[in-house]
Amino acid sequence: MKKKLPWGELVFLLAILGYVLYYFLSVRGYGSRAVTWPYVLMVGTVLAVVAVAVEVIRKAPAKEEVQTPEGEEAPEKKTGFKAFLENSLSTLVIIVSFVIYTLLLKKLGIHLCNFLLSFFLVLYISKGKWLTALIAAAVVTLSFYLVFGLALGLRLPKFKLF
Amino acid sequence: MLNNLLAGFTQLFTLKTMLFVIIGAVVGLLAGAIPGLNDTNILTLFLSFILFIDPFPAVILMTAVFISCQTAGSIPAILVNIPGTPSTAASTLEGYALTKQGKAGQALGCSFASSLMGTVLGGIMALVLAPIIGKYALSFGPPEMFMLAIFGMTAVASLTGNSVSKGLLAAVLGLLVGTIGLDYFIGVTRSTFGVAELYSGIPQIPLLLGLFGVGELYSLIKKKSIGTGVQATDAPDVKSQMEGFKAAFRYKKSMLLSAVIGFVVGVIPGTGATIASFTSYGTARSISKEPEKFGKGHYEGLVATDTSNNASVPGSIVPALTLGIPGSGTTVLFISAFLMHGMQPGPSFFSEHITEANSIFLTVIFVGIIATFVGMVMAKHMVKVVSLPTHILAMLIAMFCLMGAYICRNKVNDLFIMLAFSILSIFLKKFDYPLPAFLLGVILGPIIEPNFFRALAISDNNFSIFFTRPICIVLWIMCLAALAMPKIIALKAKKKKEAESAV
Repeated sequence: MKKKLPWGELVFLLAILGYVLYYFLSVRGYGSRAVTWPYVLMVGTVLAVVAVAVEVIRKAPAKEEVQTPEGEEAPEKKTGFKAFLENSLSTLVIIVSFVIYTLLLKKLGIHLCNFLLSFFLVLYISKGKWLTALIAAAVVTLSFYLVFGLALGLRLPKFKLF
Repeated sequence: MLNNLLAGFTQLFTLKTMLFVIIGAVVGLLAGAIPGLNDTNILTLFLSFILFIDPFPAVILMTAVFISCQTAGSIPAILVNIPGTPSTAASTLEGYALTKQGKAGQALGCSFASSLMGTVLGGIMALVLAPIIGKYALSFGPPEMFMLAIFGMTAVASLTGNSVSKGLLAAVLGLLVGTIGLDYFIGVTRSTFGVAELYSGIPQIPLLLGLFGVGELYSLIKKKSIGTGVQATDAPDVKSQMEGFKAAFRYKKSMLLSAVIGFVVGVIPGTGATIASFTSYGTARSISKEPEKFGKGHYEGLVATDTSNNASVPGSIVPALTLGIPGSGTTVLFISAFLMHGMQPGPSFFSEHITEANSIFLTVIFVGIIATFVGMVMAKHMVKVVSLPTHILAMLIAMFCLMGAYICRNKVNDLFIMLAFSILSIFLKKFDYPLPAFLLGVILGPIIEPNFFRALAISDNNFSIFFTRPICIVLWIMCLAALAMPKIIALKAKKKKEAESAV
């Protein structure tokens, strides 16, 4: 029987090998004392990747053959990239919002960024409770300003768009 | 020894330090009671703030949070059948069964009494044994230290996950990532992607916040509310809790045995409180006069799990302080806190900082007492904490992570580093690679490499030094045992299952 290979994990393992390759190229030609230990680890990583790959392929479950009664259509099963996107949408939203926060930090200042991000996060996760989001964002921004800006006296990025 | 103990007392009982103890105990109690947040997440969020505190109060604060988190983790386990921390999963077995019988208050009281005794007995064992281990560890040279770190990593890699090979891959990848930055001897840059912030190595706070803070956030936002679908019971009063508190002391034998098991299991790297509590539960059942009552709401089972769970915490701190080898992901954070303040836990720690070490173990005992009594009074209100809405909790975690990662060095690139590790954590979790093994590799990497080279320098580049010294040989055997342990456990379980099905 054919096996259903865990392609996601195999791609992840390939990415690890890609990183090892990058590491190898970045230190190639250095004196031996600088790279002996990383070389030991690179060999170790490659061996471990091979061991894991063998294990996941060996343990991969057999492909299920879907049997549908005659005249009926098989239920549409979401697979591949579309299903991955649907499952990971909330994670992607968080990552993108964090990237935007980071990019705007120096321009808008930390407190305005804090307000906007906390407002957006509560609004998004609670699916539209805007009043809760507004109150929560205001409370968090004010608390962070009092603790980090005033009490700890940290030098934080300020609004300098204009 | 008595003088050192008194010095530890004097250092601990100052107004400033006591304030940190109380803050840590209360925060830990609240955080531990929230299912979905564990001691590691909370301590990670704390790490960025302790940079602004003196080293000693910082470690005391973290100890207080760690201990009280364990105590509070049993509250949601007992009240709503959801463990507040993974290590309190065993507490649901008897605790929730008692709640269903209308004895929520009694169960909480019993849990608090057991937690108190576990912490106190574990703390005393640590106070007595840690200096002995510390003294012995002073005779360790670079090859022994190297091998010790390798043993710690092997144990964590093979015992924390479901697959030994995945654990080893996570550990060795962590070690490789730990070598990023300027090299120890020549000063050349290794694998920095041209990012200046990586020249001094992977910054620990963004790394930890990415792996345990933002990484946890991704799973949290998929849940509508952590307590959804479960009914919180009537708020337990102090009177009913006192009944349970007294009931716990009827099982002194189980309590004592569980404390010893918890402490010993805690000392072994890679095991931790979860294994300790389930081991103690099984042992208590086998020695109990009433084994048939287990699983139906029996105080003795709850005594075993909660005593052991709490005794394992001081146990896990012992190897972190004496050998520099953390026993779990949470104790890695302890080592990070020390390193951030320029202190190196390890064999010389006990000779240089004996007073501070004693104060830490005294804090364990003291926080155990505070957390118990504050917990009993606050239990009534903690039912509300259990059902904190996800959107507020997730937003708070996000904001604390971002602020924490930025303020540690005031560098925007640190936020990207945090984000990169959070994305890595998604894949590590999804494919079942143990995060503690990876983290241990990154943290121990910069400690292992110098010892590796020093050992080779002593032996004139002869690798046999790692195989011929007596302690190294013992540590090799322990590494092999740690690697074989999951197979042995699986085989035993299979045999037991076969025997049961034959009957």
